[in-house]
Amino acid sequence: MTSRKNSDDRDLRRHLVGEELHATTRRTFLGRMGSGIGGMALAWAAAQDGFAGGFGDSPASGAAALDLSRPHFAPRAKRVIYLHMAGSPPHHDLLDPKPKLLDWNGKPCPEHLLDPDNFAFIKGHPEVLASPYSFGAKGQSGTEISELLPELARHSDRIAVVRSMHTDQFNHAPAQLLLYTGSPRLGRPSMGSWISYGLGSENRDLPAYVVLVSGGKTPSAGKSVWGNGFLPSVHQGVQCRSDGDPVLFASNPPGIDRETRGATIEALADLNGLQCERNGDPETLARIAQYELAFRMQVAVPEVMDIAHESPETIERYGATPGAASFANNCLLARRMLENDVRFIQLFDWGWDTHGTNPSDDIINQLPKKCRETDRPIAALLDDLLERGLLEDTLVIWSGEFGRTAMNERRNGSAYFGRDHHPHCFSIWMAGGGVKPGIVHGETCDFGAQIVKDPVHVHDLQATVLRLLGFDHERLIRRHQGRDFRLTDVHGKVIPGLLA
Amino acid sequence: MNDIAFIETAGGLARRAHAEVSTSRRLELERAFRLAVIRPPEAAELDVLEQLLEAQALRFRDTPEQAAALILAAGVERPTGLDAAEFAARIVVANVILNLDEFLNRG
Repeated sequence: MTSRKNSDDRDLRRHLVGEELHATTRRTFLGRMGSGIGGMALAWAAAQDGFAGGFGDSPASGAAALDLSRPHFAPRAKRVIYLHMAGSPPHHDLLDPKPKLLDWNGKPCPEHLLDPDNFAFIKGHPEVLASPYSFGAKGQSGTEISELLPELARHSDRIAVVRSMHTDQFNHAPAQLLLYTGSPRLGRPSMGSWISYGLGSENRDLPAYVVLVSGGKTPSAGKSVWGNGFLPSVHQGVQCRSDGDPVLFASNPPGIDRETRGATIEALADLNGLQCERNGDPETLARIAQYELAFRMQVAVPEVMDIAHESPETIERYGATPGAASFANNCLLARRMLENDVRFIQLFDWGWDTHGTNPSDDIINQLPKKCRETDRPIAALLDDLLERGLLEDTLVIWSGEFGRTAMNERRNGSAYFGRDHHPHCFSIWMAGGGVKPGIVHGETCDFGAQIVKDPVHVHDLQATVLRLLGFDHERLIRRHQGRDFRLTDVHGKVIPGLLA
Repeated sequence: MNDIAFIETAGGLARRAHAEVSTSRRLELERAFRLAVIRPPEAAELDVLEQLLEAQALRFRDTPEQAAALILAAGVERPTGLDAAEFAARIVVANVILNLDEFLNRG
């Protein structure tokens, strides 16, 4: 009897807490947004979303949180796979051919390329380094792609190459932060968190935002690049591992079975709910939601992470190895996650920081190795998405965090060839999800050092990504410490030339 | 919550609370709670903890091997005068206390 009464009390209390926080959140949002159905809808969406995990079967949960008619524009993409080549690949050798560099190869670079304030390592007057790789015009589009990426070249009519990306930062951590959070300093929410915040989760048993890391190292900026900043913590990226426990501490300790774990999660939700009644802090609700999500993830994650269920043909196509931690596995996992309605899947692959200080970071040995590791799985991913009809509403983005110099770095007289960091231009590609296929956007000078046409700042990329997902980047905002914040902060413009 | 460090700490907390106050389950839980968050629990909070303790003690009585496994994982010696099921259930409850938002964020 006591138990039933407590259970009724519990439901009632959760309901009341939910209503109250709902109302609080709604007030905060409306106060901030000023006006507009869009604002109300978004406020509602965000409020829903925060509760989705915590309030079980209330109307606020699960599928009800998702209504793509609510964003500011008709969305072209429903989900994102972001392939990040951490360390930053050299655009001269992959996507931005510069044949004129051959005339300069090994000669001191022209004066105008000397940029000592933005060289991370180059000292003195460096020599030009022409790409040792050939490019070919591929497909109907004639997009020129390096011989190092033969598999990607098959897809040249499907991708949009942007050769005119630029950033403000020339070191990895701040450049990664700027790219993912809109600020080179710590503390802002990442792109995936904003998208999870704006669109909510489609799957009750998996996080909306999943991160997969390969290459043996997390990105230089650490976990902040998938941090939720000042957004509710349910929106942070959840890192899943492709070997061992997919999520650290997802397995119950000895002596604790699923039933006991369920009972403890319930008791914890009750106690945190009581605390929430006292302090009214929505973060307490976020914690309840996270524990409950984690409980469901204990079952859902190992299932989705087990690529052994895939056919041998598929595994072969990606070049994946069940049980290993590899970029190929992560590409296949990304497709599985996406099929399970994960909203934003972020892959980080370390090993692209090709300075040329030794054979493991040069463009002669290391770069082809990294290309071999990634080219096939990326192409397989695009094929797979295409065949399953998912590419049209899945946005795929490939990038580093900045570009590399037209000059050989030659750190301490190194005999290996490599390039230093370069913020003024770099190349990325995008595909699917409303991106104009088979185009090259923007142009750089003959040295691949300065943009001469259609520059795209990382804030513009963010604005464009949000636009493809149905958001006006100036209206996806959150008030924090007395002012409104957004992913693009006070910058960014959508690039119409990239939209299909 | 599943990190073994939390299980070991829960074992320590359960053992200490029992050593300090062993007159009743409720007082023992009150002590454990207070040690963690530096305030006495409200009656409603104590009810939740006590119900969990009761249910878990029953469960561990049916599955003694689970109780032994949890106590072993926690790496603490079972207090004399407390059977394995009771002690394992206390570790489970202590683990909940150590995962309270109030403990993790505002302790």
